[in-house]
Amino acid sequence: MTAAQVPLAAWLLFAAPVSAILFGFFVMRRVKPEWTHLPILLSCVIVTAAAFWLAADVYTGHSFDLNLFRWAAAGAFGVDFGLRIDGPGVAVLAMVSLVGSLIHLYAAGYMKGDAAFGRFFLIFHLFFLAMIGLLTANNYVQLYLFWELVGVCSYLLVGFWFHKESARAAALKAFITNRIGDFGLLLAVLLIVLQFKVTHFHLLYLKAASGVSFALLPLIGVCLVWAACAKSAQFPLYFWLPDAMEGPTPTSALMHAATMVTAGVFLLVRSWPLIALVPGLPDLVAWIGGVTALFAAIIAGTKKDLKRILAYSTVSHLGLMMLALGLGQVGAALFHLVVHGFFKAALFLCVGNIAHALHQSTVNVDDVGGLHKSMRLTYLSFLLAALSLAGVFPLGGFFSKDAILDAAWHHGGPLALMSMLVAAGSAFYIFRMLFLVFYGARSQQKDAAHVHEAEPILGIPVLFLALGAAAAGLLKAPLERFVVSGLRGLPSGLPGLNLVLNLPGELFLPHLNWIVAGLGTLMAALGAATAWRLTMSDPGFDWRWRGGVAEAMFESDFGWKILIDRGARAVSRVADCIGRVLDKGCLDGLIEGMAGLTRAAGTLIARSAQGRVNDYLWWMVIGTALLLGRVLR
Amino acid sequence: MILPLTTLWIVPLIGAAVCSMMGSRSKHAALIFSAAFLAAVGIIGLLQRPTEGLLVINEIGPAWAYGISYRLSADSLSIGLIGLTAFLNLICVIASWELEVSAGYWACFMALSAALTGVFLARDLFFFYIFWEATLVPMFFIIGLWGSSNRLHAAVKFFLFTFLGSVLMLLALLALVSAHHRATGVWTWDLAVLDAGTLGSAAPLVFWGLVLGFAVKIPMVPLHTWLPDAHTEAPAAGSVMLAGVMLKMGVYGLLRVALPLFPILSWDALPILGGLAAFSTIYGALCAMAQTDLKRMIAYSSIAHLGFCLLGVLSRTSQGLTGGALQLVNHGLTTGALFLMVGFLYERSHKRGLSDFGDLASRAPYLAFFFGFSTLASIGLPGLNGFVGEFLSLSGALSALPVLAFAGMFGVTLAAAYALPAFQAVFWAPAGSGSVSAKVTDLNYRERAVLWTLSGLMLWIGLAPRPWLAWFEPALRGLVR
Amino acid sequence: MMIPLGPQAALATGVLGTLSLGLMRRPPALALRALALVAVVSSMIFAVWAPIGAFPSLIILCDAKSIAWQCLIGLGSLPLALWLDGEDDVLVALFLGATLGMSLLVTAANLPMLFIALEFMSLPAYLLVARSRPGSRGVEAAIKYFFAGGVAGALFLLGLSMYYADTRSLAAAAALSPLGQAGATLMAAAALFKLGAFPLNWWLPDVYEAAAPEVSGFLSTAMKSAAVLFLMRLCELAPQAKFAAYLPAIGAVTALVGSVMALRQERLQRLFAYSSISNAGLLILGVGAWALAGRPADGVIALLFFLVAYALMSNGTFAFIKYAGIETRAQLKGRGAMLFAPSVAFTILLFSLGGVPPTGGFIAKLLLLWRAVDANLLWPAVLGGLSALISLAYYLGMTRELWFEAPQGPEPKPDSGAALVIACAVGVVLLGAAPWLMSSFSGVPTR
Repeated sequence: MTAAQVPLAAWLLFAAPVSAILFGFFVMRRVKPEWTHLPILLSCVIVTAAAFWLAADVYTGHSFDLNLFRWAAAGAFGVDFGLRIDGPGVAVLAMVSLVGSLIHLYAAGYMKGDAAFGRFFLIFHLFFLAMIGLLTANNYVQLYLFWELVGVCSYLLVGFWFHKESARAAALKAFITNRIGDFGLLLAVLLIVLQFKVTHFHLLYLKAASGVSFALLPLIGVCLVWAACAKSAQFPLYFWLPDAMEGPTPTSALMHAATMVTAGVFLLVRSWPLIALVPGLPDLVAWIGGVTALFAAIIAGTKKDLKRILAYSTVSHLGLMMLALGLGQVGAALFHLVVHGFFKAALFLCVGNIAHALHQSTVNVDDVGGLHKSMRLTYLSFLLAALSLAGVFPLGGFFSKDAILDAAWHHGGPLALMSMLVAAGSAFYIFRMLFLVFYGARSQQKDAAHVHEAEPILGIPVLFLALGAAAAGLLKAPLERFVVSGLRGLPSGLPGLNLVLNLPGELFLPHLNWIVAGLGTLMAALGAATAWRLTMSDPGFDWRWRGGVAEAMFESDFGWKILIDRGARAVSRVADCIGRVLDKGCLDGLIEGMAGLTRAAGTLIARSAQGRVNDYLWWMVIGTALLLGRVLR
Repeated sequence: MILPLTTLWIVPLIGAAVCSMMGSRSKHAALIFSAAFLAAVGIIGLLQRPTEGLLVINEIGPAWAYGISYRLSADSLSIGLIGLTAFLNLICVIASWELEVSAGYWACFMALSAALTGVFLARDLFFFYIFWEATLVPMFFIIGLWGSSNRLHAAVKFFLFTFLGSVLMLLALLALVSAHHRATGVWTWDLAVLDAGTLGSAAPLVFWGLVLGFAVKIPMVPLHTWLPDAHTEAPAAGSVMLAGVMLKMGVYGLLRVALPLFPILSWDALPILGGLAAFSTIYGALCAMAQTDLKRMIAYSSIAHLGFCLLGVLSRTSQGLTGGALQLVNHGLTTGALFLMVGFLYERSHKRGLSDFGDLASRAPYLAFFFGFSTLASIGLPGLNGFVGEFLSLSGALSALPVLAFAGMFGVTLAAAYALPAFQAVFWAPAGSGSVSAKVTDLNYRERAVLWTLSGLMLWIGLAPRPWLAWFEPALRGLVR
Repeated sequence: MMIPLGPQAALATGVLGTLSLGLMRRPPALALRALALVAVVSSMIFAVWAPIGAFPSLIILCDAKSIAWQCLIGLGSLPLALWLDGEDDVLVALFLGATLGMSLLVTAANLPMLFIALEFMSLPAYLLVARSRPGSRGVEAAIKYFFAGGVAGALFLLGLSMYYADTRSLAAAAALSPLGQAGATLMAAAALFKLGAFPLNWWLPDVYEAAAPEVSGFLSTAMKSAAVLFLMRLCELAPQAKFAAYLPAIGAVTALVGSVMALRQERLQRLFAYSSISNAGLLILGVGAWALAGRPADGVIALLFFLVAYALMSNGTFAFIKYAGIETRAQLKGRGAMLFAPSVAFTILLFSLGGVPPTGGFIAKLLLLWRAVDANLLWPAVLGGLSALISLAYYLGMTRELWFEAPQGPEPKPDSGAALVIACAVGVVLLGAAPWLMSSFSGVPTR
């Protein structure tokens, strides 16, 4: 296969967004900034069409992996950039392009009238483009390029309303935390270069499958997991994500559902053939995922800010995906990734609609209640997505979560227990939110009567997303086929790619296990019931854990946030010490001091020359005598 | 041969002479001559392309006393760095177009370019040293005459400190030439002929003398304290040349003189040199975090950048050397752009402090865009130039000096922790009470043109670095261990 | 024309002519100046054409060095010849007399002759200092100079007698007993005194500061050149003398001390006096390196080049001080823009003194340090380099004051002599920019 045979759709994936962005930047922004979104929306349509076209190709067995041009070379070492259109990539790509496009459409309504409308759309689309690039990269360097671009775009979007102190701080926090994670990815890539001399996924798979043991592989694996933890907001690097909702709501939706946080999970999917070879590492991933999922679910149940609840929910769900990965269920992780994309986007946009209706940038659960009457469409969408999230049969979340629960069940032990608790926790926090916002006419909540339903451009995309979330269970079969056809045999332009790989990890999704499904549903019902009990049946109950140890504990994420803040402050103190005290005072002081010392010596010696001839003669005699003494010694 | 190599340094030198005589029209002369200079580099670099990058363009004058002779030679590394010099010189002239300065300003810049070019061309070590030192004089005047408030101190400090390194380097060169004469009976300063094997037991001393001389220029911590002062006080264009080209002389000296002459010693010295380079990366980044002055921050970031560039070079792998060489160009473009923009800010408001500004993203969107772009390039965003150099340098370093490369990577990671807060403080944060943001107008067409050019190059190198790497790679092949 | 004592004869004629003209009630100023100039120039011409060889009957020795140094002395004294106050016939006679003494010194063939020439050179110099600047300061300095010079002369005589007692020779001697060693050392001390080596240097700043700038220029160049050859001659006459082994160290320390002491000087003439001590230190280091390397003929080039460059630099700087009519560093501030061309020239001279390429001062320092490195005198060379670095601090400081700082005080009233400053600057640039000059220099000592 050569570059000429690359399907048009693959070119369009890049050509459309790039030209839309360039056109927007150079032409629209000057001529008609309020129309900047039009070429971009067109590009979204093209990208979505292209993604589905490619998905169809892959479905029919036409996946490929091709080098297009050599990016950099030095000596024997070279990095080629190319395209890898395979099952996992296309599965996520299709979701990302569809969900992303709907969010774009939503954003066109949501951001209307903003002073920086043009800027928003350009960065937003660049964010989208970066994710597409990440999903179609065929080697680690290329992946790293888009990985970083995703990070930068998220920085710019989180800090979009930069006049807000909190937005600036959140943007910085997000970027620096991601940088810390990127350190891991960069190191991993460099180590891969050092160990394998190639960076192509497929060649790496071949090498990894060759049975030779590689000394650096454990380190590479750990670095990759570290990177994924930062990007996908897993413990210990999850803390940036809840703050990152400072950006406009469409940004949060895109970040949480499609573009940003899924990158980490996707990285691990791509790297799974390497990671699986490292003994103990999958277990580590599973534990990280399990612990994060549980702990984020608990915190999500204590938050008041709607977006913050959803943010912790994302952390929790990403934890579930990591858990699935750690248990070797690559397919299950991917499945949940896709389904999660739909329901999480829908939920965020619902919150956006509520905020929009209230003319507030953030909404607390206290702020409003009983919206199910005034915002019917939003309510419907939220309900579908929430049920999906909670894993209620027969919505999408049920199937994807069930696959993970099943895996954990088979693994047994604490992880199984944790996954069940997460199922209960998820249901709890999402139903709590649902009840409080859409039903609960609690005393302190405002009357919902003056709140109106959002206009169609805000409502329709959300509804579509919610329907997608509901129907995503249907994707199970095609996805299975995607993953299999994508990872097994790849007809392509790379040498050795025709080999059939026997990759580690379970690619097939488990069949529905009725016991697990039943247990999961039971747990979800338990969570929902608790939520009902705490919010609706006993309005007097203090469900917010005000004051005391509990609040401090939940506010600080069990103390972790305090630790992180202390660490950051310590680093900046060290920098201050070095930059001001050590460098300016000691090192530079030493240099300047030496100059001063020389000058002082000059003054001192010159003082000996007082103009008295007696002294001069004594000096002469002493000097001559000394020389004489040396010579005659 | 279309143009002799001598043209390359004579053109700017004549330019300097003409500028100094043209009075109020000297900036036009400077523009013409710097354009001619760039054209000359283009002609020699592209039409007389050094095939295979080896020392192929040579120019050998008569031999004078003690084997001193006027020998020039250019390979792709030299031409690349001269191209950078010429390009930045032109950029500086255009960027300073509206400054109210005397003819001497333009003459100094042209003279500086001439001397820098000479350094990159000389194959005779005597001439290498002459050009090396001659760079100091115009820069001394640029800082002293057109610098900001503390310029008097900074100018003298800059000169003396770097001269200290040069004196050591000179003594080392003298010892080398003498030893060669004693062993072979031939006086020569020719880099291609000199053999450090004749030094015997004095070799380490000579090696370290040379390295110290270069390390001051690079600058390597703890020999760096001249740099923040000099950068901060110099006028914007002066900082551009200082960071863009003058710092490169140190790495160039290592590549051209120290490593080829002492291949084994330099390998033995790797733990120390590499350790200092890695340390510079972290130290520079931490220092940059503590700065409250934009220029000082960028100056410290230069120390950090040159640190990992050096790591790559010292690793003596193909990636490391090529990436390091490309990083020299990258750093020139990126830091050059940043210094120019701080200069534009300073011209408008006479302030440079992080807290003196705020909210500039709304007031000066172009400035914000270019500053953000360059900052991202500087912290190594893939797709922009900084990443290529960083990636290849570190990749080379990792194979030779794993622990040091690891340490160097920390410095790279820290880059975001100083660059972005500074960006936010100036462009995003609301303007404080003492802020001078109101005086800051957005970039005009001339300034934008300059920055578009620089940004375009950053993007080009970032997206398609291969031709650039291919340009440098052959010249460095001989150094690969 | 090939007469052995040509230069001396020309200068002696000059002295006699001046004295004769002085008999007139009002000596014609123009004629006196012309006479001085002609005497100096013709001494150089005679020197170039002088025959090579030893002339025992005349107790003189004409070798390549003496010829070169004769020219050097001419070069050093030319500015003063151009500038002398023609009204004062005694001054002219003293100047020519001192030059004659130097001229005799460079051709002296044995030790008594060296002593006579030394005194011949010194006595007029004392008076020159006293007379060049009216008032008590000059006289005080001259008296100090005289006392110190007298002690140096006594040391030399004492050394000479000990040397003679040991070797029964007034010229070269092979082996030396401790007595002879002591004698040689004492004689060397006299030479070091003339050069201003540490710690025999204290008289020098007082004298240079008190004399008129042009006289200081003369003393620091012509006299110093003669003294260098004096030291070299001692090394040649007593090749076994151990003092030569200490010259590099003495030189390095002197260079360092001179530079360090000049750092805080406010008065320019005093500053340049210390700077001249520093340069003398490098010269002593160079002589030491030359002596230790077995006195190679081509080793003289370094010293010669240094002296030529230094003659230009020192005369040029003192000429600028005279021209600008300033006394302190503070008065330099902001002068650059007012006295543009001479200030540019002065700046070039300063950079040259600091050893910055591409100037003659750089090549001079390079050659000298190179000789030291070549003779394995690494540490003295490093100290020499360090002294160059420290000296650069005040040369740059003066440049800074001249150009970067705001002017203070009244407008300067420039004196004559701008052309000389510029000529000297052009000279050092030529010396530095054209290393081919070195190849022509390299022929001189071996001719």
